[in-house]
Amino acid sequence: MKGQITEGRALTADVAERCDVLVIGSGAGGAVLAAGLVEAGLDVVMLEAGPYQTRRSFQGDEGAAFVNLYQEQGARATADLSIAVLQGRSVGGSTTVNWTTCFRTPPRVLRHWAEVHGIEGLDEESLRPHFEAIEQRLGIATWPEERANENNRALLRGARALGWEASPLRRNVRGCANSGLCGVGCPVDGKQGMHVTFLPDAVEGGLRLYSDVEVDTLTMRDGRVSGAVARVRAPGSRATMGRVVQVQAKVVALCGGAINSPALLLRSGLNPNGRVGLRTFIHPVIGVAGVYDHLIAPYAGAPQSVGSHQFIDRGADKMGFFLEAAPMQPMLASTATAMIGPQLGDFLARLPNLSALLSLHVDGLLPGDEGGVVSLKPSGDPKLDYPVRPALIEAMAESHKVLAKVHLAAGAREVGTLHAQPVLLRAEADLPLLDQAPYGAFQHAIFTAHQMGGCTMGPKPENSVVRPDHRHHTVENLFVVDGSALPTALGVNPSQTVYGLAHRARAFVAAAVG
Amino acid sequence: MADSPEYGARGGGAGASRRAVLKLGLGGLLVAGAAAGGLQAWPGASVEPPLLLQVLSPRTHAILVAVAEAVCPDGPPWPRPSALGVAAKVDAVLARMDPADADQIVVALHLLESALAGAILDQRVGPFSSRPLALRRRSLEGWKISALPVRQTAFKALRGLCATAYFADPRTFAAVGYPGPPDFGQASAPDRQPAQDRALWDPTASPFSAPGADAAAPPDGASGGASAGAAPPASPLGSPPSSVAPVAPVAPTAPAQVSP
Repeated sequence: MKGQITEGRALTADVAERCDVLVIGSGAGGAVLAAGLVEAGLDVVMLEAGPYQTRRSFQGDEGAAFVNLYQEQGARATADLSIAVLQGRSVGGSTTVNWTTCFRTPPRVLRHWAEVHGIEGLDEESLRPHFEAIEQRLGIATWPEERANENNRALLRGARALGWEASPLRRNVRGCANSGLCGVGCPVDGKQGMHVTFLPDAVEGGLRLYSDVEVDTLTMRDGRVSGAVARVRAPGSRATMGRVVQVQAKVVALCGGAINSPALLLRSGLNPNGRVGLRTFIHPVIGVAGVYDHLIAPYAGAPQSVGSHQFIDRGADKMGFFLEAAPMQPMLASTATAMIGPQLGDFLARLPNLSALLSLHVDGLLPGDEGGVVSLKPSGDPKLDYPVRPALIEAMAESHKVLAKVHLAAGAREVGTLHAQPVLLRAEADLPLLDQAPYGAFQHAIFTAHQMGGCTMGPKPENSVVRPDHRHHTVENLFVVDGSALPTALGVNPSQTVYGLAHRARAFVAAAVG
Repeated sequence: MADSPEYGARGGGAGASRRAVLKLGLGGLLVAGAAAGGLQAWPGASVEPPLLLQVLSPRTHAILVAVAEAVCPDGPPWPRPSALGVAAKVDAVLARMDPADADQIVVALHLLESALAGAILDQRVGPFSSRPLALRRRSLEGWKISALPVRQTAFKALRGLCATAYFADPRTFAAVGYPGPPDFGQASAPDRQPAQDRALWDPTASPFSAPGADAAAPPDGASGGASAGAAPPASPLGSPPSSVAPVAPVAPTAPAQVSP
């Protein structure tokens, strides 16, 4: 029997649902999981806190998109606001607004998980069939180098001129029009996000999905989770519509993503070992801009199609980083800098000729790197604290230099950092200026578009939240299937890892229904 | 039912949140401001507030207008932030935030405005909103690199709120040189349709958005639209190849149902 998507505002009375599996969250984890569960003949209900939007409402309007499609209207940040957090919130989760870059989990990271975190059963071979299935359904393929936009070509040209590795990336697209609008919702459904792939598959098979329905708390009975209680929220608002959705389920899968999933466990009082919210990793990102004589149009074309992992392994005591490009529509560009007034105007007026390159730093792999901590604000919303530690500061100082070199080698007329007092370089001889610049929180812009951990997996209850099969250590019928289960950051964009792990977790969750 | 005990984990509502922020946050801000009691010592600039404010008062709205003018660029070709209703848009954003966080923004506005604190810490005379534009920018630059973390945080929040409201407005696109997003006719398209090959959008062939108007790219998303005005120069490296077949125009259909 076919299911349906019901928007919260369409509910005229409270709802009481019963099902085999309640899936909380409709992003990379929840969607893949739900599609598999309905395929296995199970009765599945999904609750999504964000709105249901389709390409008909994706108009390329940054202001509207951030309000409707991002956590906290795009203004999510660490508690001190030193790190901006870009994270999706709509049907499809972050896959509706991500920049389409797909990687299988690197084997070196899987080995690290086995050796350091004792996680068995996760290796390249065992994950292969899951990744292959995902790649087929989402059309994941290498974006041809000749289609890369000028922003990504700057990275390719600069890195290769320096003799560094750089290669085209794989993207989950079919019929991409190169609109450059991945981050604000694909207007042609070229991006194969969950909202156009696994979620329609799941609805076709019977999934009942409620949007604008935010779970307050899980409900418990006799040490088992019995379901959840959720409130209907007005779209793009904190206001509640007065309706309540209550779901009773044999099994609950928490798929709200890093930050939100640990917050829900904390709100539900499920933190028996005190590990919930710890080890939250974010691939902290810095950017360096280059101004070119020719048109870059960083707002047009596939946002990310070239990457470099030249500096992913910097030795046992240094944090690695990898390089990618960032799309720059005007509003997002304005958030990248701390400039005001005429300086800000000059920066934005150069946008057509500006290339924005990123360095993403791999947290969680070094001994003692515990990442950030998710706790609760008095309102019950999640709060993220992320200390910027010395290893990250050292890596950010180095990656600023690396990106400046790439821009200069690629032919930039001028290179500018995103420091509170920007450092400007015009030639290699200016690179020592970067040695004198300060690095760390508030010294320059820091972002995250990849949130991982907080409900980390591991074999031992004393230092993890779920087992390697995603099952909660003490609540037998509760699973966490999303990026929050990752024990470390990945060193690659995380979406495909989450898809693959969710594909693998389908069998575990289905078996738990009994 | 919404007030039953099972919802207790979600906090005690806005009132409790506001009290909590006064307990947790204002202490730090008070240190930063030295003397919030001097808030009303001098009258600030007078600004006609919009009719419907949700979080800001007419007073804090006026302060925010002064902040927005300092944060955003001024003079041709830039539109004035007040002409774009930036402060009112920020008010709408605040209304959707965690009330405790919105309260922090309001407190930050008061402290920025505080004449006494400004006189003690910044050697500035008069409330922020009454100072000339250049002095307001100097005050904000001081907060940006302040040794007081709470001022850095406040600067970041106020700057971000004003800049995003300003640069999301299509009336700034011409000054930025941004052609505006391409229009693929998606507003009248079905919710979903099978994936297909498409021509790649060429931003050099798309006209700039007219101020206040939606971007007007050809509905098929292909290149070739008549360029209204100064299109940026073509890239010397060439535009992305358009080797795939152009997409067929999307036929308007009745609005699709929510349930597929």
